[in-house]
Amino acid sequence: MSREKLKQIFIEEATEIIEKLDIDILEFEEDPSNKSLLDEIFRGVHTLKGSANAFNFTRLGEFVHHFEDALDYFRSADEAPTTQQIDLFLDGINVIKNTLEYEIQENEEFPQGYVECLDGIHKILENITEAPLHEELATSSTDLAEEFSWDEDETKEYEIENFFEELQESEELFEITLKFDDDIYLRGFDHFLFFKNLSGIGRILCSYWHMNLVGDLHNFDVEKNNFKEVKIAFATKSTYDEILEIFDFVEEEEFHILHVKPKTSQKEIEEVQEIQEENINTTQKEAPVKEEVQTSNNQQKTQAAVTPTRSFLKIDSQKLDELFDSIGELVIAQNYLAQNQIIKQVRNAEVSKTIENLSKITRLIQNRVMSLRMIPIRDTFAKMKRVARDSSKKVGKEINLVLEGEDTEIDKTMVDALSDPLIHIIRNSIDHGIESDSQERLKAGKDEKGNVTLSAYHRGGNIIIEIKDDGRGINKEKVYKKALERGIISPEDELSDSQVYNLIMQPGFSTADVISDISGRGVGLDVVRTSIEGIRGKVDISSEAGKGSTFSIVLPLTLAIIDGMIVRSKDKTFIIPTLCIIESFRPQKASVHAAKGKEEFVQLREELLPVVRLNHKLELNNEKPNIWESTLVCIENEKGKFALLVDDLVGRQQVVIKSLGEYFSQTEGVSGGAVMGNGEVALILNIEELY
Amino acid sequence: MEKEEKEGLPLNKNRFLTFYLEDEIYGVNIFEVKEIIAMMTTTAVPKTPAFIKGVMNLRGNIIPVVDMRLKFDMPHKEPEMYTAIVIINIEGKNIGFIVDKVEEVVNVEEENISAPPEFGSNIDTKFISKMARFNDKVIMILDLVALFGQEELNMVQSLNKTTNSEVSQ
Repeated sequence: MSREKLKQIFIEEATEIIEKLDIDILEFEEDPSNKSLLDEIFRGVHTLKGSANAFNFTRLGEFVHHFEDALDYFRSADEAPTTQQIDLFLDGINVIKNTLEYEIQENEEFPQGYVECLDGIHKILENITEAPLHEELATSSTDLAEEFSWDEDETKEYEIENFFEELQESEELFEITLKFDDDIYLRGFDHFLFFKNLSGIGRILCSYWHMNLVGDLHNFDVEKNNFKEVKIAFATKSTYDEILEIFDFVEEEEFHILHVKPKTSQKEIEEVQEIQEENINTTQKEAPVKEEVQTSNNQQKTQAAVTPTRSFLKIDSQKLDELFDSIGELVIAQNYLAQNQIIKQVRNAEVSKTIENLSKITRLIQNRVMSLRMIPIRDTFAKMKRVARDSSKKVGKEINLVLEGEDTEIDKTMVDALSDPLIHIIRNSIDHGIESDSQERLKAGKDEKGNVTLSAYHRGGNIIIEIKDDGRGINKEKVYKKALERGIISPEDELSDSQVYNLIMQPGFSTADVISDISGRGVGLDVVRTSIEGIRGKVDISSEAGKGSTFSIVLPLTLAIIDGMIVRSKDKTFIIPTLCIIESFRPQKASVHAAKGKEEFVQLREELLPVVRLNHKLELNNEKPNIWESTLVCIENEKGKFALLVDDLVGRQQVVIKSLGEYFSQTEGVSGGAVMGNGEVALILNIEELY
Repeated sequence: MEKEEKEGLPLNKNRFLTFYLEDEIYGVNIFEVKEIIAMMTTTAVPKTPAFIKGVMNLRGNIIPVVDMRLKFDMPHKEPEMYTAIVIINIEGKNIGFIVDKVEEVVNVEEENISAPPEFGSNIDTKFISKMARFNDKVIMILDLVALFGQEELNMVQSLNKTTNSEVSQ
């Protein structure tokens, strides 16, 4: 594999790690006692560091290195990071993100905030090194004093057994051998880090630095580890597993932990040693097992560690699309077989059974392939927590973000396109929606904290994503006035409430009196609208003064199977998503009304429905058959109910939605196409645009 | 295999697939041609220009189909035995072109290729990139990217947009 390719993989992985870090740190803030989560974060950062150095991303490596140190402190310390420190960590993640980008672009500068953030981290490190490190330094310095006075003879006297007498009550003796590779410093470790960590769980009685294995001065390289072997006599009340945890991040051949028992049971020592070696082997080779072995006494961590054992496979989504197309062909071929007259005439149980079987398998494959593209919206929502947190901090409003329907599955391509619009709307809700003064909220009988609810659910063949705040609502008059001022509307325009609200998504519209850093720079919600329209969705706004506003993003279920009603109009076949259909009927002559001789209505029980002639709407022809002799399909869309006039209903069928390609992406009234059983294409009607 | 192609490339620069529309012979660079299929049923898409015949199913992919006769303002002709659809890859996307009859693949010597005439043809010369003489015949080489590339695409879209806005008003 080429280096370039490796780099690509690293970048992909790093991006994923960074995203996860963001979410994890926020979660950690909610539950600072969750050390396993912190470990998770630490591991992520650690992986980043290793790879960053491997690809010579020095700025990234440097930053992540210190970041890791700071995290490491909280891993072992009892104190939880303060909100300021969490803020710093979150900023740090941003810096990491930007630094990575700079590194990829080979931009030599330091990204914004790099230096400041690094300073902040240094400050944390300085503060913490003062207190606990002192002791350790004291112990290790005495050790060193001993070491410095060594000579050849003295070292020969080093016998681990000699340290038994130094053990205190309930302490056990371990001999730890460190055989670090040359590149240990580059990987971000040094011996003293482990000395320090070991001191955290026990006492270092003595360390023996094997000087015979140290190279001579001429070959000395500061960047390389020169101590090939260091033995540590270690007294602790901790278990073997706990010591092993300290060495989580070094290769198995680089250390060895030996539990030393009193000489009387030398045999036992060997046994123990064997078992332990086995342990090391299994733990290192089979990652999942290792997690369990190490954490058997730590339920929480086990849970966290078991989840990643589900293995994932990354697949180019293009390949999925190709697979998808092939399956479509398979379905058509299978339909052809199933409907073939000649085959039908073969009265053979085997043949019909096989064909039946084939259709079952085909459907199964189709469903499975379909589900591959669908992913829960959970991760996207989780990212919004960070957005809400950041923006609420910036404007100084307390916000409670509620997530609902995170398991709603949506197409992967939509997930990617959804993130930015969501960020925008959430920022907007926090910045403009929620009242700045909590007193104002209390007076209105609301919680002191602003509530923003982010929810996802299915409705009528669409996926709806709602961002709802309980703020002051949109000031209709203000919006209207502003739109007039900006010339977006003219005074003659008669606008419904929802039309007024939708004005705020017009380009160049911003009603915020104070332009804040978060939103309200004028390039606001129109971007949201365009990007949602880009994935063939739309945004609706509703609001109630004093109660709050709701942004609804209505998304189609692209690339999914829909249950369709096949209809014909002027010899052409069209598909209506069955979910939008309420009923179909042939009206009585008496129930048909024509207003002003032009607009037509039909009475269906209590309701008067406008009639939309499909052939006119799509400009197929100008024929005007009598309504009472045609078939009407009662359809409900976002705006209400209407009756669609078609020539004929053919039947219901499951169809695979396909895009017509960008040439027809703007075609009104048509949302896509589907390949029918005969291999021809039928158009799927866009119900929203028909009326 | 790959090597062969690389070496063969310069030699094949002037290889064209030729086809007929009415009595005139046209060519497209063979590298742009993905495949040739027999005429098949297309589905008309409402509110598109007449020369856009509609869409068809090419092994599970829905691709647009252009009626070349209508594009060149020639009278409509019912499909018959020789009517074919030439699938051309334009800017990474497949588009089908309906032609009267596919002729052959020809190798034209460089000296037999000339610039398109300024006038004298009833076809917009913008789409004709060059003329090629081959066996006493003159082949008009089409520049399909110009014919149905980004610009045309925008045109189709803006056309749709105007109908949209008209309706909404």
